[in-house]
Amino acid sequence: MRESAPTVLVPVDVSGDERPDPDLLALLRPAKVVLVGWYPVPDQTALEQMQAEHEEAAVARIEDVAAEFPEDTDVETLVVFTRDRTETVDRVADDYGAAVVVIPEEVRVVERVLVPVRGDVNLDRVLSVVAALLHESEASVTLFHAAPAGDEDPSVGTTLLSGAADRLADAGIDDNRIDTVAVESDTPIDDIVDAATNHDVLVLGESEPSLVAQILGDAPSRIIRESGRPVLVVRDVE
Amino acid sequence: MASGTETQLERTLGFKEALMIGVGTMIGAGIFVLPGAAAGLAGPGSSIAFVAAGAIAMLTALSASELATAMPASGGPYHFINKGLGPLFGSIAGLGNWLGLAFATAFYAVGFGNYVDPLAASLHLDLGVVAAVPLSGPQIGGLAAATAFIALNYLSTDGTGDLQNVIVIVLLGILGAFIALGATQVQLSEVTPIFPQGSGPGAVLPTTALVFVSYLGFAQVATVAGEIKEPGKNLPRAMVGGVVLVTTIYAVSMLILLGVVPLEAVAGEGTAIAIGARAVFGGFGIGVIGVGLLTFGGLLATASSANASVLSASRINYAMGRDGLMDTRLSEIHDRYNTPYRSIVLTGALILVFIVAGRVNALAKAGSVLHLLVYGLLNVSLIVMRETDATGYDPSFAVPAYPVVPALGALLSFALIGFMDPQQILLAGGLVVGGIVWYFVYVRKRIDDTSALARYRSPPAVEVEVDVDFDIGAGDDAPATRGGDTDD
Repeated sequence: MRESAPTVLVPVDVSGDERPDPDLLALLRPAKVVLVGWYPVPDQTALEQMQAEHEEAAVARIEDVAAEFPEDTDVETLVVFTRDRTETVDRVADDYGAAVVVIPEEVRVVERVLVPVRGDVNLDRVLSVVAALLHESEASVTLFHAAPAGDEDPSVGTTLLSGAADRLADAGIDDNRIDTVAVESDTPIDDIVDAATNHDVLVLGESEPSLVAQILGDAPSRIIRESGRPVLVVRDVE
Repeated sequence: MASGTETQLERTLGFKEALMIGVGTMIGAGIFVLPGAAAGLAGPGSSIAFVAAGAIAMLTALSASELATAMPASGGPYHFINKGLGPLFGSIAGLGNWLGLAFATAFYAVGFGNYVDPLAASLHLDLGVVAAVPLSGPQIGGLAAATAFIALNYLSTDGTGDLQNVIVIVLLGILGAFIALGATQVQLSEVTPIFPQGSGPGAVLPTTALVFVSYLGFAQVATVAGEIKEPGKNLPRAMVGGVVLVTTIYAVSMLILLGVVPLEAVAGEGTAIAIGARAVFGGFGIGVIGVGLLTFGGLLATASSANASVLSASRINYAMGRDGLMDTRLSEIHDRYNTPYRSIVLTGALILVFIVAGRVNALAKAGSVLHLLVYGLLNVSLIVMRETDATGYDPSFAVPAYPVVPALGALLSFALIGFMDPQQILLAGGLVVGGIVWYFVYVRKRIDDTSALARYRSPPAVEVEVDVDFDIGAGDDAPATRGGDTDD
């Protein structure tokens, strides 16, 4: 049984020479890719003026990037002139019903995928994306759960992990490619960042940021900043 | 793979952001710079002047909302007039809009200087003496501030939008505290009679003319119409809501200011509101904090108004270049900073000259008079668009009570010019002449008049389907030319 192909949004800054890593692109081969070339426009300059000036170059750049995907990948390209990258990524993801947003970083070869698992995120969607992407690669996956000591019954974490592993196995991922790790920790985010050093790509579930998270930066954005790995953010929308 | 790429322009402004742009530009002048001057002219009656100016601004805000939802392109008021009335009026409006913003920015910058001057004095720096040339402290503070804004805009400042929101919320908080604490201490004997000796109801209209500069910010919302989500709904709400909010704050603060301190103590003072704060917050034993807060507010407010105006002035240069009314080299984008640097530098140079040349009230009136001219034409343009059934004119917001609103808007805008000083009336006249000369010397031989008015007066000779797109200009670099004799 094969999971249906998720739509994956790959934002690329087309004002510079940014290029997503080819190995990351290979991982995305089973997905439907929406390649968004975004062009930042400062407040001082009218959007249509930037468009008139740079549209041709921006389109050429994004089509160059599209050509680097493996032949059989389903890629759609789009150029957006914007004052706010985040807003554009969210809006385009909604427009195309994209389940995943890629935050690119340098990667050598994708052999190990890290999936931090929490009870409060959209675990089902995260797992279906992981299953779909791993279906056509040899990469292994680590399901990782970190919880503050004494905060919850240790069995909660292990139940969560074994359930997730079963789910991936059901989707056709070989058992010996799946690893589970549960740790007790007072600093779960630091542990995820540490674990990321032994992995090539992270898959994170998006969660509604709490008030504290909005002030201190929510967990996914801290992990993205500190891990130095490409991150696939699975969005929390239908 | 090739050629299938669609290009989009992101709309990033919701109702709140659009409202903040308008309020952030408006809230500076009226309450932090002008209360002293307004009080000197009309006493407590200046509250009526603020309401009258707000009402005139409101009429034009409604008209601008309709025009902006029909043609959401850069250039704001200038663009609407050029599309409705043609390049002759477009030249007048473009120059008026641009120079009006430069005057208004100079005025905000001197207002900023008013707040810097006492701060500098308390640090034993006499700004007036530092200068080798005979400039006042506020002028020197203004020159420094204006230079900083110009440099910031030249280099491009990322995320000024978020900063703008914070500034507006802080300002509303400070003014809210002033109003709430002040309301408990108002003495009716201070605000009666409404018109002090030596002035009467006749003082209201000249005061209205002076304080009109406080409302220029609403049009800034129209210049970013293309970036507003659901413009049919959000644009009028942001513009009208902004004018109502700001008018209320101005009128109430003015009454409270004059209800807590004697008129003589603030009349003609550049930082009248801070003087009022000493009394208002002093009643609670925290006078120094009050002065500090309102001084901080004055710096923030004038800075945000000045910055927003520098920003929109360069949009007008771009729009005029796009439409063939000005050399496109002026609005060229910087390779590295992606800003229209030449336009920013030229506008900045004008601002510095105006700061050196003008007194604060004269700068305010110069900014007002040129905008009133533009706003009057804007209302006329709406009437022309409607009456000529202009092709492609399909606004998603319609002005209520047409034709009363735009007709009254045009009439009152033009009429208020009559209450300016002869100096400013001369400036307005000079600008009209300048615009006409510019049109005949530079514009006329370069472009065809494809405005709604021209097409109505002489429709294309051959009946062809002409694709008129009001969203973007007549063309990119080369002005569009088409068949048919459209000369007057």
